[in-house]
Parts: sequence; C-alpha cells; structure tokens
Amino acid sequence: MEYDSKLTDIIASLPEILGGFLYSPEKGVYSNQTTGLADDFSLQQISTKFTKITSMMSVHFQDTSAVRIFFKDLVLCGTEIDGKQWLFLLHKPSLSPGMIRMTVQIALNSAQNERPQTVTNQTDETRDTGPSANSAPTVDAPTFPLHTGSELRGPLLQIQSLLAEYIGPVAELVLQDAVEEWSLTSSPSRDSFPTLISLLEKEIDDENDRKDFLEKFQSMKEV
Amino acid sequence: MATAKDFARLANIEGVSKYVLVRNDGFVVSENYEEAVVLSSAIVTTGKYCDSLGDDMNGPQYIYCCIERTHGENVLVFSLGRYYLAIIKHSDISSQQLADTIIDFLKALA
Repeated sequence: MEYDSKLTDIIASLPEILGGFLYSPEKGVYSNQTTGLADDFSLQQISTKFTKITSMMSVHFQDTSAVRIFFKDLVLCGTEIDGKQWLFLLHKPSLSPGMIRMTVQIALNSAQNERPQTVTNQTDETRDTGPSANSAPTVDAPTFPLHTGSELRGPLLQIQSLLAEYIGPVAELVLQDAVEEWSLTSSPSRDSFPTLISLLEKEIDDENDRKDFLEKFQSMKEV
Repeated sequence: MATAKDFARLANIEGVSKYVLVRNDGFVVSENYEEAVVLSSAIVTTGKYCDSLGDDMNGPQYIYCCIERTHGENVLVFSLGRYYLAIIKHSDISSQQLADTIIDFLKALA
C-alpha cells in the first residue's frame, strides 16, 4: 500500500500538524514531508532512536500503544503501520493525542477500504507485535457487539449517542475502536460495560464533561 | 541541592503511581517501584536518545517522553542532566496535566 498520499492527507487535515515522514527498517526514511525541519539523514537517526525506545519499552510494558516525545513547541509521535513501516508526525502540543489517533485512523481506514476485504483472525501473537494504529475492522474483527443482530448493538448505539454529545461525530469511530479493544480484553456483555466506559471516558478531555458523561451513563437504566 | 529524600515526595503527588530516579550509569537513586532495577536501563536509554533527538531536529529542547499504554498507566520520562526520572501515572489523570505538575515539582527542587 502507498502511504505517501495518506501522509499528505493527514498533514493537510489539521493545521496543528507541522509535517511528517515515513520510515521502514528496509527502506529507511522516505516521503519526507517535514518542510525542511530536518534532512533525511537526521530523520533516519530520529527513526532509529524512536523505534528502539518503543521496542525497549514494549518489552517491559507489553501494553505499550504509542510513544510521544514532547519538545518545546513540538511533539514527535510515531505509529507502526502494516507491522513493518512507521508513520511519524510532528505536531503542536495543543493537538490532543485522541485527535491525532483519530485522524491517523481515519486516513488508514480509508486506505484499507480501498482494498478487497479479507477474513482474518487476529491472534494474541499478532496483536502483541507492537503499537499499531492500523486497526481497521475486517470481517472477523472483534467489533461483533456492534454488528446487526447483536443484543449489545442497541445499548452500544445509545452510548455512542451519549459520547457524541461531548466529542462530536468522531464518537462513532471512537466507539468502534473502544469496542474492539473491549472485545479483546474482556468478554463483551452488559456486565462489562464499565470496562468499555473506562476506555471511552479517556477520549473526553474536559474533566467536567467527563464527569457528566459518567453520570449520564449511570442514569441510562435501560442500558 | 536536591537529595533522594526530596524525590521520595514524588510518590505523594496526585496521579503518580510509581517513580524511578536513575543516574546516567543505570544506578537507581530513588524509587517506589518493585521493578525499578529491571527498568533502569530502558529509562536511561530513552532519556539519552530523547536528549539527542533535539539536536537531530535542529535544536528544540526536549521536555519529556510519554510511553502510552492501553489502560492509561502511561510512563513519562524526564531528563535531569545526569539523571533521568520515570513516572508511571494513574490511569485517571491526563499525561499533560501530570507532566506539568512534575515539571513544577522539579523546578521547585532546582
């Protein structure tokens, strides 16, 4: 898959994103779209160090999902895609991790949707190979609680509507992402909704909104 | 000059679950984390790499590195010259909020 154009789309989608580049251990740095912030040699150094930090920390903290490095007025974040390539972004500190994650996921999901859909089974082994934002649902993806016919679909859509009151239309994607994680770490049921809610509440930046969301969820007796 | 005892107060900061202060040779100076020694080399390497990344990017000053984890117990790594500080946060506080608190704490110690 060609990620160059996806990177361009991501950079163009949010003014706070200052640039980005792609990297793979085989090809090195390519698609340098950092507008002169750093040359390819420097980006190669950056990529090597960043991926080493990620792999070292992933050994100790196996649930590592991303690494973000904060500088004065600049944040460097990297996402592993396809298990062998990395997408790096440079953005302003004002941009929240949730918004970055969502933007990358939307771009990568649209790229996935351009390809024929295949049936896959994600195993513990493939899941634990490292951080990846490339979680586009496939036919067997663990978003089944949201599938038509699932008894959980109705309550989940109600939760989505509630979440949308605080974060807007991205609530749909946030919910899909959270349901996927929830399905992989818990047994999806009404009893385990609190686990799902704990994932969702993190996407609400404002503390008062978060409390309000939790209170409204508690009062959803029909859920 | 700050002592190991001063850093022990990190454990009392709201949002801090664990902390590890490591010298740049890997010696653990202060901690409240049972796996501090195992983690120390990763902390030092992360800190050193992040320090040098500023040079790779033509000079922006490194502030901290955030290792994000699935359930929000993120790890923050700060560079303090010859020492590196890792904080494992509670899941219910934002990384940015805690990072600001830690930076204020460190400024007060300096």
